[in-house]
This record gives sequence, structure tokens and C-alpha cells, in this order.
Amino acid sequence: MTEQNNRELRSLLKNAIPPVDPALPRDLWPDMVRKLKAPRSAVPLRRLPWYDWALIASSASVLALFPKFILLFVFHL
Amino acid sequence: MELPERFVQGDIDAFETLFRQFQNDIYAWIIRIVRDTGIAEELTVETFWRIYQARSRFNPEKPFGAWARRIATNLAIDHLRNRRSDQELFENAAQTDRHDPVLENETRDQIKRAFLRLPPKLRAAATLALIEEKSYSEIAAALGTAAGTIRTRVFRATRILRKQLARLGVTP
Repeated sequence: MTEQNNRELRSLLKNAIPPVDPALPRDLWPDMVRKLKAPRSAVPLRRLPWYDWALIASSASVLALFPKFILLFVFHL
Repeated sequence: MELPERFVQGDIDAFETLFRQFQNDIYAWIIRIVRDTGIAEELTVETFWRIYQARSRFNPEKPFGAWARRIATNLAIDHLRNRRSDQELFENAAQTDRHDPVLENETRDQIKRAFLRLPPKLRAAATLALIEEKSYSEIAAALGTAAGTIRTRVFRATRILRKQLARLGVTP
């Protein structure tokens, strides 16, 4: 990969991807105050990553197959 | 007591001063990664919210800006990772057109699509290094990693991009 190739790739990317204006369009402090005052809600379920769902599913399967582990599970909560 | 120390103690006025001092820098950094005004505003506020929540972990002897930028970068990368539809990405960006008229729309879309398929960490490093022309050391500081790691990520991103573009018949 030559420096020339890199320059060409950089130029292609700059042409393909629109530039952004880095200037902040408005003061965000009022939004910040609102967020600080708002009660923090729990993470919405749809935002849970796939591995959390996998963990929930595998734990549920284990508990369904081996109900004796429920006590152990509850003990560790 | 100095401003950073007052902030660590939970002084809201000190936090406001720091917020006003750094909101422009944090927003400018985030928008370069996510390339969407609304999302960048939202993530800027979220960054400062997390900063406020984690104030007790901040060392007042270290620069606040670097710490804030690191939190902002991680949030922006998380956003790229969690984003469900990458199709909209870059579409709400400022419309200051500097496109090369020679480059056809179709080719441009293919390049954009190839870029959007990059893994988030590589995409963030490539955006900052190749499009925004930030130095490896500046990107590394914002990610809390070494400049060599960023160099490797950019190298991997360009290699993936070249392969994808070659498959599409575009050869940079």
C-alpha cells in the first residue's frame, strides 16, 4: 500500500462522506439541567445487548431443567 | 478551592462552569464520529451526565478536557455499535457540499456503504484519521490507548475498505 494509494482512498472517502459542521448550534446547558433533574429510568428492554438476552435465556433454561438450582440462584441474587 | 476540586465535591456551579467551558469541544469531537447533529447533541449531554455521576473518580490534578473527551469517545463508539440502521448515518450531516462532481453518485454510495460496514472501533479511528485528519496521538488520547493501536486500526480499516471496494469494482 503506497502513500499515493492512501491519499486516493482518503480523497474518495472525503468525497463520499458529507462533511460536518463542528460548531455547536446551541447552548446545551438547559438540556443538561433537565437531565440532572429527571429521575433516571431503567434501561429499556430493547436496549439490552444480545449477550444479556442469551444469559437470561440460558439461566431460565437451567432453572427449568434443574428446579433445585432455584434456591441457589435466589441465594446469589 | 479550585474549580476541579469544587466539581469533585459536587458543586453544581463548578460543574456548570466546566460544562460551558467544554461543551463546544465535546460536541465537535462527537459529531466528527457520529456525523449527526441531533445525536451529537444528545451524546454531549449524556457525556456530561456521566461525568457528573463519576465526579468522585476524577483526579483534579489531571486535565478535565482529556477525561471528558475519553468518555465522549467511548459513548460515540457505543452509539455506532448499538445503532440499528446504519442507512441513515451521515445523511443528516451538514450539507456543505464539497463533493467531487466527477465522482458518480453510485460510486459514492458504494464507498459510503463499505465504510458503514466497518466495525465501530475501526470506523471511528478511520473517520477521525482519514476524513477529519486528526493525528494518531490525538485520537489515541481520546480513546485512552496508544498511537500505535490507532495506526493499526486505521491500517485494518483501509485494508477492509480496499477489499470491499475492489469487490465493487472501485480501485483507489
